[in-house]
Amino acid sequence: MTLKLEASSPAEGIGVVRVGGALRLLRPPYSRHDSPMLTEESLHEAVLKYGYFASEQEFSGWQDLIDFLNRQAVDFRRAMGREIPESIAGEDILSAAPSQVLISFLDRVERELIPHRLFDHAENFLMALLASGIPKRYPELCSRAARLLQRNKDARARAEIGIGGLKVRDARFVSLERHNELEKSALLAQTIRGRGCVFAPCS
Amino acid sequence: MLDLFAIAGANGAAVRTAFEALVAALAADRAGQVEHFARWVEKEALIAINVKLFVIVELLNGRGYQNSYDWAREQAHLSGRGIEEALRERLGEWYERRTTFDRSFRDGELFRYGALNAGGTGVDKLFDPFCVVLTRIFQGALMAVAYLPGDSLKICFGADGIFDDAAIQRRATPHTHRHLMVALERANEISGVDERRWPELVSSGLQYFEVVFVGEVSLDAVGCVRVSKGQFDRLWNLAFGNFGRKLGDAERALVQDFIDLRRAEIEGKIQIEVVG
Repeated sequence: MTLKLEASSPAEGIGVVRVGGALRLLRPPYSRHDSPMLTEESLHEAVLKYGYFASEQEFSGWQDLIDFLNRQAVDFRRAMGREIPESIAGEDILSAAPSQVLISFLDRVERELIPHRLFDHAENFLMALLASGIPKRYPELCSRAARLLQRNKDARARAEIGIGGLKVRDARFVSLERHNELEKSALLAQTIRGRGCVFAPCS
Repeated sequence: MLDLFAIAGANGAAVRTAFEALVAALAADRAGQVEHFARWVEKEALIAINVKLFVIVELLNGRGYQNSYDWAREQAHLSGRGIEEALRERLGEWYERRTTFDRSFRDGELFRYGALNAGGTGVDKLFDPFCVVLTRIFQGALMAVAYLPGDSLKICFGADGIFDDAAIQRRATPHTHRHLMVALERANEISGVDERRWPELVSSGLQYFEVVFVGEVSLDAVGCVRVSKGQFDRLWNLAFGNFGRKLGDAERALVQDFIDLRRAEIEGKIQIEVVG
């Protein structure tokens, strides 16, 4: 499938992309559910009114296009004398966040990260929060973070016991074997591990 | 070469005459409502420009707001490329339309484009989701400003793509009469819309009043920045992702800009209003 980049905002790695007959806005974090459809009229407006740069570049796949938009952001900002930092300190994010945002982050740890076994993500956030200056400003958030850290630790321990149990059981994938899908599944697992995410970029 | 601001100035009396004729033709209650709306626009509406987060950080870093020509001149200076070459590359197939309009007017390459705003996040929520509302002081000090009932490029170009200045000659309005022009254009809609939603009659994704002006926009000119709650949450979600994985280049760029914006707000350098 050919993807045509019709316009882009190079400073922010955002692109207006033609996929088949449709136009989509492709923007960080480049996920399909955050890629709204656009009208033809809005493409004109992007360039004429909103300072997007016209483009006619074509790409053979989503990853090539996303790599290009990322490179463009690096190059454009470098030319403006603004390097993109190699990493962003958690403390910088936390110190900039108002209390209601911190509360929403804690909510997400409780409702999304721990139930979905994203233990490292939860732990990184909670440890950064507890080590930051936030507890002094918002003591009540600190105690909730500490409780969640313990809950995360317990959930991780339970999950690891479960994985350990699987090792000693006969856990062959009978149905996959029967349908000759075992090798394909192993390849898929490798792909997921490689990109660090179960979701493919928009495709 | 046309002088947009002189044309607008000369139209003031005609706009007032049209407004008075409209009010005279309406029943008393509707006439009163239209006059009330016009006074409200005069009091509340300011010039706003929808921009990207990157542009606000540029303002915070002491740079001015650039139009396409400023950018092309800077590119020419930095890279040795020609100004026209940079402009053509940036505007692509839209080069002719943009430059034909701007270069039909005296000082056209100095034009900055904004929209009247009386609340809300402005004309665009996808491409330029941050609505920079300029101060009343900045607005009052502008020597060259004209108002149009919509997108100048739509008003002045027909389906054939030919530039026609007749609409500008007729519809450009000076600052002193902007509220009357807005009331004239929206007279049929005012009565059906709750007063709390009048800001949408002035500016929304569907309709707006373009403001063309000449003047340097720096951080001093910024009264506040409005952003939708959806966009605000989106950027916080991106920042939250930083705790779970290494963000890509463009993601880190956006998160760093967002942190810079929030720091500036905390330090009192800029005011942010989250809407909705």
